[in-house]
Amino acid sequence: MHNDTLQNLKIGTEATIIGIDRNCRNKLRLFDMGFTKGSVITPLWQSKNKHITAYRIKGTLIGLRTEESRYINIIL
Amino acid sequence: MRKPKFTNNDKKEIRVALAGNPNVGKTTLFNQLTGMKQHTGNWAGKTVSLSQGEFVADNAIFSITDLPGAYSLLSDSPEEKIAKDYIEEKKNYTCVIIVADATVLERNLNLTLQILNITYNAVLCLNFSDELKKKGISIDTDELSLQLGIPVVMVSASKKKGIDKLISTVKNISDGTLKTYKTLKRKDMFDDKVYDYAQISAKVSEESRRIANLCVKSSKDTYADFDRKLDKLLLSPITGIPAMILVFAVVFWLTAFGANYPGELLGWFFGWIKTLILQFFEFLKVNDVVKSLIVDGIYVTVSWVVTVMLPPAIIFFPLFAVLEETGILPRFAFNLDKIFAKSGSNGKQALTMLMGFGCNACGVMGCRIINNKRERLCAIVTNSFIPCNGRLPTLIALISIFFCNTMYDPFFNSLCTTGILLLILMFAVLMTLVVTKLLSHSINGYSENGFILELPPYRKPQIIKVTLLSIKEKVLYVLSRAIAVAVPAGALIWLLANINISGSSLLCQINNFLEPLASVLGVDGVILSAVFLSFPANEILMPIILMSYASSSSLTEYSTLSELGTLLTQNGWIKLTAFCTILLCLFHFPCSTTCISIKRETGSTFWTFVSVLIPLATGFALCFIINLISAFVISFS
Repeated sequence: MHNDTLQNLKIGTEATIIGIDRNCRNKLRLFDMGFTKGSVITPLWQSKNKHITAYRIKGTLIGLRTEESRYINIIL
Repeated sequence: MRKPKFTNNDKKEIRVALAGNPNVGKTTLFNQLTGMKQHTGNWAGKTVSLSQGEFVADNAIFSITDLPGAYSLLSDSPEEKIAKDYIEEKKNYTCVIIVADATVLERNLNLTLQILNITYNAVLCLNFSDELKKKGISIDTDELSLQLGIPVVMVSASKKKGIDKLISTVKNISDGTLKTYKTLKRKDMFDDKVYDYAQISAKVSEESRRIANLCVKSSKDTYADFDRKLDKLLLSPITGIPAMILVFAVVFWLTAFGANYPGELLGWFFGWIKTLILQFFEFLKVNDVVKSLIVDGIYVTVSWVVTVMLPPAIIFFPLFAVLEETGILPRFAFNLDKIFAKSGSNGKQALTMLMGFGCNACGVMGCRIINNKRERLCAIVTNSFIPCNGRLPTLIALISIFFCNTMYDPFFNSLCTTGILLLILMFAVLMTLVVTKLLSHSINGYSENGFILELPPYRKPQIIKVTLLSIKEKVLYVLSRAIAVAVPAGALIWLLANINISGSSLLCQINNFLEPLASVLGVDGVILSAVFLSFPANEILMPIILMSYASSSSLTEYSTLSELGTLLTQNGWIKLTAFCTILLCLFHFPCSTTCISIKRETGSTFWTFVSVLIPLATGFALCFIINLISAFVISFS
């Protein structure tokens, strides 16, 4: 068990979200899309240079930039 | 205001609001209920405003409002605010149908709980119930209903299952025969005096998870094998973009190839009608001037617009509609995000550009899916860089005539046309990116970009239904608009061409006036005046050009592309002329409808002007450069 941010999570690894950093501008949107405390998340597809990643979360796939995922705190 | 009103014929009026997350099939359900034909698409933000419809069932009149898809009522994005405001005004409805995707119930319960915080006059409608078995999911609807306090109905909107039950449930809730009961305690979850947004979201999410764990059993991985395989292809950094280009190549090729045949047929048909009209006028002894105005002016313009536009439209729109249904398009936005990010925008702009292919006015309105104000403005201003269906046929025709004319076989000709068209479109995309980059540097706004986009599960498109729907709605709409513009435009051009002042026609004088500027741009005065005169609708660009030429020679009705080529060549067209015309058509300023749309969406006259000036300036600049280069090449060779 250790804490990290979402952008460091390896493809195919499952983790649980513990919160979103208060500095994230799109915090509200992320909450709405299901990035809430306790949600299980797995990164599945990623572009070159890790610009953008598609995450499996709550039964759907959501594309997110690293700019956002670095604000999302996870535990795995 | 909860009591249903009684109308004259004693039918109860039941007012229903359809709410739900994006991609849950709300619009399909809406169409199913009302028999109306709203265009659907498998992406977030397809429905950006309210649409309304009515139907009669169970001796009651149901009026339904389809709200834009919303992930939440707590945030402040424009389309979500529309939904929120509507639901908060309780006299708007007697019952809310909360549409949820049964295959991802937990995610959908978020919004459900938020709506229940406002009203309990609601029913939960679990759509896509036909997919549950295949995905190994079972839902205990009784338990779900118990937990939520409202009735739960399983529905498959596309297969028309469960609709009757849904209707009777809605009716019973509306007239109070079916009681719902409060299970939520506002202060436990939604009290914004006690909790902040993060806490409320977390609590709602926790409650959704608790209910879902209680009611949903899943025996398989919900990420279907097929979806996983297709995503591996479409979302991979190596194959993603080539696959996307291939899909578009096929779409454009089918459009260019398929359009050859009905075009000739239509040309023949209109020729036949024309002789009938002439005979009829002969019979009525109509004045020659009136006859010429109607036949040579209005009729020929209309028949041109129809023959040039209809064949590509009838192929392109259904193909595109099918593509929209599948859920592939958001994947494209995902792949392109990186490129758009470099010009200070985001991948969602790609979606709005795709909508622009159908109609720029729709594309401009679709920009509402972009949350960041600055990015939205850039996307709106550059949307007309994508040739809409009014310009695409002109591009296809000119490419086919002037750049693929050595290939007589329609198959190879269309391949060649598609290839060149794709190059031109990529150039248009490049210019979009360049201008977006320039604009985003000059507009104030926070620079932090965001890209958060759902990539919904793939759905099998209902090809026949979607095809018929898009022909009926889109094709006929675009066509009727074009005709509505072509009629007065035809009359106006005819008048300009036939009113003589000091020896030459007005049209001639306009053309002569524009000639000096036109010659610098590699075209002639006729083409340039057509560029300006096609402001009402871009479709009439070619008809105006042809009619101007016809005022000196005689314009016959459309028969084949090669005949069109001959006519243009006779009037001095060379490859350079065609190329510059293509550029002027591609970088044409938005049509009147699009301008109205831009004004409405930006709320600013200034930005509407900018949207007109930027394509115009781009087109002129490019033509000037091309003309200059060609002059150099000629003088040195």
